[in-house]
Amino acid sequence: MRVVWTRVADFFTAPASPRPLGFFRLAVSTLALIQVILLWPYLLQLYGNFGFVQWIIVEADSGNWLPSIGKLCLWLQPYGVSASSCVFGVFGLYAVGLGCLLLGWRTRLSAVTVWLLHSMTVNSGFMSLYGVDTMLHICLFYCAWMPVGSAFSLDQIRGRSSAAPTFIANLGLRALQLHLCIIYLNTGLAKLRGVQWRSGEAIWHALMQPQFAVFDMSWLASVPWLALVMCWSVIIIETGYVIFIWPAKTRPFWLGATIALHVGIGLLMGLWIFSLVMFVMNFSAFGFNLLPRWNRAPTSELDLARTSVV
Amino acid sequence: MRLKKVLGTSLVLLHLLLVAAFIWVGLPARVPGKLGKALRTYNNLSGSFRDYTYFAPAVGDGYKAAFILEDEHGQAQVIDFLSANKEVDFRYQCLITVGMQHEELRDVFAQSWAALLLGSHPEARKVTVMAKRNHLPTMSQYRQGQRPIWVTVYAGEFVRREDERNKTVEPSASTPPGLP
Repeated sequence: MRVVWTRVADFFTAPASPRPLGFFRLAVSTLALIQVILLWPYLLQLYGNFGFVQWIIVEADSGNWLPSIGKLCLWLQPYGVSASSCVFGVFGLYAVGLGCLLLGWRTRLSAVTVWLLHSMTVNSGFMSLYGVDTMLHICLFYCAWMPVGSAFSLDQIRGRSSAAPTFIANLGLRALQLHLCIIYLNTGLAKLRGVQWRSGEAIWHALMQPQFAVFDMSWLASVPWLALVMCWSVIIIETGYVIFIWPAKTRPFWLGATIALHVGIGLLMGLWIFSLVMFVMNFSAFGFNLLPRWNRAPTSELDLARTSVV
Repeated sequence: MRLKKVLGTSLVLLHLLLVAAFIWVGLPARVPGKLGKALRTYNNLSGSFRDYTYFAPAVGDGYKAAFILEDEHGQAQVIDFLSANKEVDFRYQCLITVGMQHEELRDVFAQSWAALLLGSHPEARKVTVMAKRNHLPTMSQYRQGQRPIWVTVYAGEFVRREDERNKTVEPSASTPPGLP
């Protein structure tokens, strides 16, 4: 019993390098910045008072205590701040926060700010959200409390944090790993319950939808066995993730298969940002430590020395 | 240090338990009152506001929408509700699907879209909102010659009120590149 307890305790609290989390921060903030740049000309349409969904519809009781851009605007209106300034102000601040997060400058403050602002935008534009927003929000939630600024950051260079292995870095990685297992298990089981997925029709339906159509995939109807194989591959990769991502022997293969799945989604359905976010989550959680270079790198002495110099 | 580790691990486990409960048990919806509201807030803050069942258990039908704008001389122009920017287009598609999937919501959403179009096209007197659902045959039906068809699910006409014509409208969503 004691052995089991020790192994469980080690699983969560043994010191680990924060470098995968540093990579996670860099990649997540870059992708979120790209997303903001792409959405910027359309912000008023998607989040504005007189956008496609007026605030009066969005502001119907959301059932939570989170602020929204609409509520912020109501508070700021007496000071002469217009609705459109509010929208651009929130997203402008969000973009600046992402820039700071990317650089790793005052990382914790930047991460918490960005996470809370993203919560506000999610609460304001939830009708136009899709998978990438959910996943980015999970990433920003973890950025807010994991030591993501302890590596590859200005904070580390300036001696505010150290890249030495810590238990909190390991705990953060474990949380991300287990969260990914919940995500894949849930989506895998949901697909397994679906007749469309078991018969191979789901892939056909997804690839033939005009909004996702990158290539003409109508030829797939002539090779239904391929659609069936694709559907079952997705089901097996997703439901098997929770088991096969853990053993050292199966991890590289399962991680590769999962990444291949997301490359396929990006390539065939055009969901590139979503696919990249999923790649970043998977690679940070399970792939980064497979890179031999980072496994060999001595951490604590180097960083402690650097800290004392700065 | 030991206390910090125990506390940290407990918090992580509690967080993951809540995430699992949110998606598998539908926890926030089942709890009434302030505790329910607190759980819904955490649900949103932690990114569990969707259940991660992408394209499952079934892939739904696609929708498309368009607007027909008519000025006072009867000149009409058609504007498709889509964007060349893929990232924006996915969001448009979500809006169209949310707005047109449930019959009881269609008027509310169409009215909201029409208001945006009338706001960004001061010359328009009337806007007709059209929405269609893509009916895709199965692979076997496709092999037998059936082809995808668009079925009209909504058509609504919205006329600008005359007394609104001379009012100044706050510069809201300007005409985006995808929506000329």
